[in-house]
Formats: sequence, structure tokens, C-alpha cells
Amino acid sequence: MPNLLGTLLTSAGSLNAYSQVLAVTENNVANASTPGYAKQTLPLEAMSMDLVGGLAGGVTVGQVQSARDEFAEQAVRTQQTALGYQQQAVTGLTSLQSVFDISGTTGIDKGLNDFLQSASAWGQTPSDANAQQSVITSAAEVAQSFQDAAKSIQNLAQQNNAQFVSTVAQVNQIVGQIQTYNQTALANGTSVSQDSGVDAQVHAALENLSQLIGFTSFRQSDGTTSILINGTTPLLIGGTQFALQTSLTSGGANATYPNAPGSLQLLAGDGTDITSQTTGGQLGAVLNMGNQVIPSYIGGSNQAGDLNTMAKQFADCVNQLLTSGNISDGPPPVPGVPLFTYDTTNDTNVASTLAVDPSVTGGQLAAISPGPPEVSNGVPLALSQLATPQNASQEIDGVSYSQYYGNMAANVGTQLQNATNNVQVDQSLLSQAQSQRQQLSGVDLNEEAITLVEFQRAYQANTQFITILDTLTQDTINILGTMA
Amino acid sequence: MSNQALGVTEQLAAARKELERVCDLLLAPSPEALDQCASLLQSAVAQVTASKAAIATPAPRQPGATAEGRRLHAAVRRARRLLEAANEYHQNWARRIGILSAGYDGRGEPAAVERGRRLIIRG
Repeated sequence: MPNLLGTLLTSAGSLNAYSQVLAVTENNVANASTPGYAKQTLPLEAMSMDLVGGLAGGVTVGQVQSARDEFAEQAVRTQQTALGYQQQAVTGLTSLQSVFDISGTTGIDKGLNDFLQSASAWGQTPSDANAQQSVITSAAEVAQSFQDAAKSIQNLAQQNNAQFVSTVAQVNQIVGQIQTYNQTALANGTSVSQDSGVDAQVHAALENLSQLIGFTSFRQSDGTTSILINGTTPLLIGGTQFALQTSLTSGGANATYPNAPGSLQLLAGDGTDITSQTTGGQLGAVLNMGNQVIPSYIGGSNQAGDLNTMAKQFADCVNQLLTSGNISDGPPPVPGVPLFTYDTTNDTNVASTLAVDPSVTGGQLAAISPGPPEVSNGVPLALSQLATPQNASQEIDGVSYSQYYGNMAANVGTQLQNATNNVQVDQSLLSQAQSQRQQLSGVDLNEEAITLVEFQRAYQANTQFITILDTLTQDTINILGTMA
Repeated sequence: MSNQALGVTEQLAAARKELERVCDLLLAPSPEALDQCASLLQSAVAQVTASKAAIATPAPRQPGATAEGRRLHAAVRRARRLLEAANEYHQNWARRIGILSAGYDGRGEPAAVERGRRLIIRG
């Protein structure tokens, strides 16, 4: 029989153990809404009981266990990265879409319509000074609208560049924050996971980081957190941070368009260019906007840009028609003069510099098409036909100028619509990953294995239904489309 | 708007609502939730099949039906992504359990998850 003192000691030990469990529970309740916090448990363990040997039994507490699971954490971060990309894409594309007005009330669309209408009116009265002046005025409006669009996109590019620099600074700042925790862990010789508060802060920081850039993180045996991007490029190893750097590069001598606006470059800590490998998070979207989307309109090292291509072909087409015509029959016949000017040395600068030659007067506009047969208003008629092209020389990429512009605008609209839809889907996927993270605490391996078999069967059944629905819905839309 | 036209649009809308319910369930996928999804998807398939049959017959133009069809298609797409993501998550989880419980097989792949044995006693 244990003596009274032994019994009292056992009871006191048990009370102490329960007190520690209560403290952990209180900590869980207090931190229920702390970002990054994961529930902790403190298991009770039986103590040896050997009365002869003087061991009175009782309970003691084991090691604090965290319900955090890095597998689920990484799944949440992966979805945060995907959502961060799409949200940033929506922001950028919304700004870009505002440049393209297809209502016909402002911008290039209106300028083109007005110009073609004035050419048609000129064709009715080829010698009328007012009609001639109207063509020059509307041509100036078209040129100005190209300049305005190019300037707006250039401003957008500058904003995107600033966003690039600030996003990289944010990435470095968050990684620096985690570096501080690593340094503390190394100095104290304790893992951050042993301190629930610091552990929560590290995970909250990692989740914030995942919105900006895709990465993988590992908890090392010394208690520090390592962060890699693209699987190989270190951002943080132990107490050492490898800060990312930004650069704006020009195309260089090997570029097709060496004078094009520069492209964004992301450099790893050792100076390696990791731009093309960085495709996720807000940073991935900013890089895509700066190096792919914007150059597709105003040019880059290997492309002139659709806006410049359209401005150049339109100006060349109008100038060619005017210079192939005559102002008067003569003799000798007096040829027309070109109306538009632009920077002929740089194909990525056409839209920005498109203008009407200020020296051209209405009387210098050639209306006579020499033929044969000669047509007194042949040139204005040919100009007005650019609205509904009759041959390939009046088209750009197989369509009219207005359609080409409409396609440009539609392309932005489609990209924006896709990104908006993706935001909705990615928000759901993030909620799903967060829910799965929440479910992971207290997992029993054997039970989970049984459940997974049930999951697989259920997935197969659902996937078949979804595939049928997808086909059926697409067929229905197609039928409705043909009826409309 | 004719009753038939109203019916097609409403049928598509009803199918979309089933899909939205599926998406809600897939936010927290469990075997029970997936079973419910299968029932809802089956019902949605029936709705869309009926809609398709209705619009295939000569009828007045279906105002709003195309827009509703696109909304339905977006919901199908969302459900598919949620299902794929959940499936991928659980497959990775299964690989992980295989590694933890039985290591790797001869080809270096995670071992297959052993199905647990259960004794069921019925009175």
C-alpha cells in the first residue's frame, strides 16, 4: 500500500498534468483566430506503477503535438499562388481593356469610322475644299487616337513595372521576416514548431508569400524553414536570405526590334535570370503582363505589336492610295502626296508617332485614279472601301481595319473574362484546400486508407457524370447558337 | 416568351443550381459528400438532356437560354476543377500514406495503400 504522502504526490502530479493540458487548451482557444495558428494537443501518458519498487504510478504529460500538416499547408499555399496570379491578371487586364473602346464613340474605332465617312463624302464632291479639309481633320483624329492608345498602354506598362519592383520588394521583406525566425531558432537551438506563437507567425508569413510567388518550403532538422522557388532557386536557407533583384532590359543587338521597350527581368540572389521560370502568384502575373501581354500591343524585342502593325499598315495603305492618284490630269499629271507620317526607323514606335503631315493641304489630296479607266473620284472611293475591303490590299491579316481593331479589343476582353472566371474557380479551390487542411487534425492512418478507397470509387463516378454534363452542355450551347 | 422557351431556360437554370450545390459540397469533399454529388450530377444530366431534346425540336427563339447555357457551362467547369483538385489531393495523400505505412515498391514508387480489415458483427 502506498503511504499517504505517496498518494498525495501522485495526485499532485496528476493535477499538474491536467493543469498543463488545460493551459494548452486555453492557448488553443485564445489563438483560435490567430492567422497561421494550428491547434495543439498535449497527450497524457501513464507513469510506471511498481509499488514494491516505489513507483506510485499516476499520469504525466507528453510532448506538445501540433495538428499542423505540411502537406495540407503546401496545398493551401499552391491555391493561394494560383489565386494571386488570377487576381493580379484581372487587375492588369481591366486597365488594359479600358484602352480599347469598341462602342464607336471614342478612340480608334470612332476615328476610323469618321475617316472612312469623310472619305466617302469627299468622293461625292472631289473638288470641294471643305470635303478635302474634313478628310485631313479626320485623319488627324485617327492619328491622335493611335497616339492616345499607345500612350495609355505605355503608362500601363510603367505602372506594371512599378508593381513588379514593389512585389519583389514585398517578397524579399516577407522572406526577411522568416529569416529572423530562422536566426532566432539557430541561436536558441529550438525549433520554431516548439513555440506555437512563432510557428503561427512563420506559417502566416508563408501564406502571405504564396500569394506573391510560387515556392516550396521545408522545415529543416535544425528547426529553420528553407524556401525554394522553381524547385532549385533558394530564397532562404537557414539564416541566409538570397534576395531577389529586378532589372529592366532592352532587347540588345540580337533582337528583331532593338529599340523596343525593355522587358522585365527577375534575378535570383546569385544574379541568375529566373524570369521565364517564374510563372505563379502576383509576380508571375505582373511578369506575364509586362513581357507578354503589353508587348503584344505596343511591341517588344521580337514583335512590333498589334497596335503598331495596324497603325503602320493603315498609314501605308492610305498613303499608297493617295500617292498613286493624281491631283490633276495635267499635262503633265500632278501626283498626290502622302498624308500620314510616322517614325520609320522603329516599328515599335509607329502608333506613338503617327501624325498627319502638317504641310499637306486639302488641295494636295489626290482624288483622280489614273486607271485606265481614269476615275475622277477613284481615290476617295478606294479609301471609303477600306470599311468593306474588296481585295487583300485593303485588308490587314485578312480582315478590315475596323475588324482588326475589334479583334484586338475582343482578345483583351476574352483574356479578362477568362481571368475573372478563373478567380471564381480558384477561390473555390482555395476554400477547398483550407477545408481539407482543417480536416487533417487527428487523422488515423488506417482509417484514412479505408476512406481513400471510398474516395477513389466516388471520384470515378462523379468524373463520368461531369464528362457527360460537359459534352451535353456544350452541345446545348451549340444548338442554341445555331438557332439565334 | 412561350412556355416551352421558359421551360428550357428554367431547366438549364435548375441544372446550374444542382451544379452549384455540387461545388459547395466539393469545398469539403468526403465520401458522403461525393455520394451526394453523384446524385445531384445525375439529376443535372437528366435536366440538361431534357433541355437538349426540347430545343432540338422546332420552336420559337429561346430568349435567355444561351446565356443560361453559358452560366451552366461555367458551373460545370468549376465543378470539374474542384473535383480534379480534390482527387489530386487525395491521390497525393494516398501516396503519402503508402510511403508512411509500407515504404516504396520495387520500382521506387510509393507502396500501394493496404486496405484495412474490418470485422462486422450483426445481431
